[in-house]
Amino acid sequence: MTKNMQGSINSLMVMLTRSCQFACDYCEVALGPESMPLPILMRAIDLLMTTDDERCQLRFWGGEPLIKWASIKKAVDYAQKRAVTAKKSIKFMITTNGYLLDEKKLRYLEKNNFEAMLSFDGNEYAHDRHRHLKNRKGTYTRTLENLRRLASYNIPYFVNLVVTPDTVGVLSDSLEFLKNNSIASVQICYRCGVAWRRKASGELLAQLENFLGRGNRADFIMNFHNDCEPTMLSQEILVDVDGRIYYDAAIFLEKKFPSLKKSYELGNIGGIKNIGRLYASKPELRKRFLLACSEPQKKIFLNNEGLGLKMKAFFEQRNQGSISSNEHPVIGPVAAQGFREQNKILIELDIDAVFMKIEGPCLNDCVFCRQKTSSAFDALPSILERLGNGRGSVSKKLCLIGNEPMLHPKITQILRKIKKSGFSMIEIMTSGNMLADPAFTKKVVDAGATSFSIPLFSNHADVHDAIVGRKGACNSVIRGIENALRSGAQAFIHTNLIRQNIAHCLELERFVRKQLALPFAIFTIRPKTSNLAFPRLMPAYAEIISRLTGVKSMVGFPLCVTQKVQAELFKNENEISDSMKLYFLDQGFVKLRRCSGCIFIKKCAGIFREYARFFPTDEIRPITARHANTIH
Amino acid sequence: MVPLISDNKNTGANAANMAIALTHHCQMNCRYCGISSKSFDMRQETLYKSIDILFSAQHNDIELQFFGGEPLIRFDLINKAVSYSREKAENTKKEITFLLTTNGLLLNRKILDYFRALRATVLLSLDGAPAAHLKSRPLKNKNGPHAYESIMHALRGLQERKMDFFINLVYTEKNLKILFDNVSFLAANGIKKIKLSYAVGSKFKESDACAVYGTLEEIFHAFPALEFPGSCGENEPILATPQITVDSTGMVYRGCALVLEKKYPGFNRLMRVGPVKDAPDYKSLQRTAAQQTEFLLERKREIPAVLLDNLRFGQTLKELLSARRMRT
Repeated sequence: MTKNMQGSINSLMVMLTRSCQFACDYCEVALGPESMPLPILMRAIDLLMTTDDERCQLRFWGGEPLIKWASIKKAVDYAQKRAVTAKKSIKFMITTNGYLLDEKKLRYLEKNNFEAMLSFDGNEYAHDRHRHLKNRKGTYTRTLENLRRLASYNIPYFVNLVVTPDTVGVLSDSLEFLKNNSIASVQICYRCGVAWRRKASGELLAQLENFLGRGNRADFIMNFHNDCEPTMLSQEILVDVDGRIYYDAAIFLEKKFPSLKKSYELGNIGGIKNIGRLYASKPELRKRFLLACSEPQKKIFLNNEGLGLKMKAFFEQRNQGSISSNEHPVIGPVAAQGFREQNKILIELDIDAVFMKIEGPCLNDCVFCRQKTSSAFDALPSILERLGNGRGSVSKKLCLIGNEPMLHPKITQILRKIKKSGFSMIEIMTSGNMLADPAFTKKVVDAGATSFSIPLFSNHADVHDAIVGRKGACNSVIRGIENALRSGAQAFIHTNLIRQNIAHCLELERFVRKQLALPFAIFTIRPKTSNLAFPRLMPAYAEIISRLTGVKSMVGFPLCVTQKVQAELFKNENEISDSMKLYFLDQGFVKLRRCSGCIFIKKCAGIFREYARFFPTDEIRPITARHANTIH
Repeated sequence: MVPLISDNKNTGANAANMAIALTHHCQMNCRYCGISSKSFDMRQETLYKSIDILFSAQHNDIELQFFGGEPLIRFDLINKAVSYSREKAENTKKEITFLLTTNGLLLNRKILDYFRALRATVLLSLDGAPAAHLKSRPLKNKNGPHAYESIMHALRGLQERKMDFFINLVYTEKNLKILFDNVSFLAANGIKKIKLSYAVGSKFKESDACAVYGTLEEIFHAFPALEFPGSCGENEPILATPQITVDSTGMVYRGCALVLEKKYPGFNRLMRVGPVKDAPDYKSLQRTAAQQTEFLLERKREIPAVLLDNLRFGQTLKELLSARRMRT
């Protein structure tokens, strides 16, 4: 419900019908054949019009309101006319299972200022487990089809996802699935009326954390913005099919809490003159709720309320800022800008290069990477156009970034043009797979490539191959590196330190430095665009210190952690590719308050905000001058 | 000892296998282990008779699993079993492989070399990082030496020798939350193969299957370089596994009854087949997993509620995990 500061009410739910095609396991509404007679519906609209607010919303609810399509049309017609005389703007909302949503109805909803709430429980497992027809046939396929159809219209909508103790384990999968299906936003509701054991409620929050930890944007989940918890104390007003008025929970929980109807009843549609008088605060509702409960019901209520409050706290906490006010500037999509603008930002970050991103797919399917686009390549003319803008670059080095720039069918042509535009050095960020073909490598180098920035996750072929999701990748990369060097180009090798390869990093460093005799850098994994929750990839600093002591190649870790692992605090800049510098800096960092005492506070990037959220930060200790002397 | 069922990795599903509990003695006092310590060690004639029965199978591939207690406490019996079964294998022209289930405390250099020479598979019970391991797998002698160090030593011995081994990591509903971290710890120690097993007799219910699946799926996805035997639910429901186990007393059991004997003697009786000396042949002992599930469901009145919950949990988990096979 939306209410303004005075506590007035500007929306009303109408129970259009108690009939529904579905027989969802968790639905606590007593379904039946009854529908709302038209006179009651019109009276309900009259009641809504008594609101003090200039804007109001009529919400169709059920059962399944689309079963009464004719009533909806008549109600909309009547409400619009009444709104004109009452000088109010009116909008509509429909809560639907989506089963009957066809093009004709969607066009109507679009035309008439409707908002839609479609109930859909995520992936097939979660959805079909509880949302089935009366004959227990699953409803997933048809609902998803109609959801997609809904999404293609210009109708504001969101998915209402009900999570139950037995589907909570797939919640993050479900959210990921909806996000991948371009669903605009999701409202997560936990099943009310059953007890959530501690394990299940813990799992619910863990699943949310997991989803958000993958760098998913918070605005996808509506619970961040709306203050609806605990949902059992919903202040919405609902008109039942028979014209009786209740607070929302009396109906959506009527089977579990039948006595609530008496406690929550507000009278008959004929008897109420002003909708504003129906307002009740949440504490008042809580009191009434508890009064209506038997002892076992009370237990369930308190359990669900507790979970609601936990959810509320979860979202509120994540809405607040970080533990530190000391934010490193995030440079954002630098590569999307003109070269001149890039120069300005990058020179300050000690990067003497400009960047050009080439859209396109990748050969690898790395476990930690979410940028798995299968999109088409940038067209050659658009690349050349962007290049044309960049003649004014001060820097003479250009880095081609993207998933796999060398997969572009016109790569040699692009390289020649870049060279012609005045760049004497061209770095390509690549998985290295394609360099395994010596003829191709020679062609690319001849066309202008001067260096390659290549990741290697282990010198054990099976480990590297599994992490990048490509069989034979390790051998191709190592052959590729040799080919690049033979053709006269430089190669910068780096790895991202993750839980999945921490066992192999020491050995990998030895391999690259001794056997390949090449520069090597161990970067921290970044939370941005990560495919897994950050703590599922990032080893704790304590673990890094205990396992990596003796390496020489760590870059981008807090300096106080670095100094416990390697003698040199700062790596030779020439050993790091410019592409990787950008990759690393393009992040949000924080510094802890205690860092203010560190002599390297300006030189240290700090830690990722996500690290501070998920791990203890005991290892983060300011380096004082006395300590620093013992290092150098 | 852990409730472990062979995954038949070495010999394929078509191998005849048998677990032999050589002794009930063990240095450890694992929280989830319910093997009684009262029983005596296996007699030589029982051991040979068991091997005879195993070799009576039609199969060409034979797998013998040393089980206990801690089987290495009776290394002498292992040695006898190895000689006897190798001789039998030669006479019958069958392939024999060995699987050693161990807590790792006695895996010294000599024993490691012995099993390497046999090309045996070693199944090492390790529950993850020190805190987790010591909590669920404490020593009987509380003042004894630090057990974890010796297990890690054994682990390095297995790795250095490039032996075929895997870790059996047992979880319960209590430590499911830190399962990811424990797997991550093992991965950081260079381990490549981990079998994740829930403890039978722990309080997993059917409604927990989804949460467990969520945790497992995340682990499988996050560690693509690791091998997780049974990750498609092949062995579920664990409670209805038809694995044949000969107890040190000479009694034949199906499935994991042995590790439940202390807590659920009634279930133990239900899973009892009879003395090995009376068994006519291997085939007469064999059952499929489906038959075993059916058998348990028929007799569900005799099964304690906790175990029945475990059974249903396992069935649902199987259903969820089996979808992975299509994906992979």
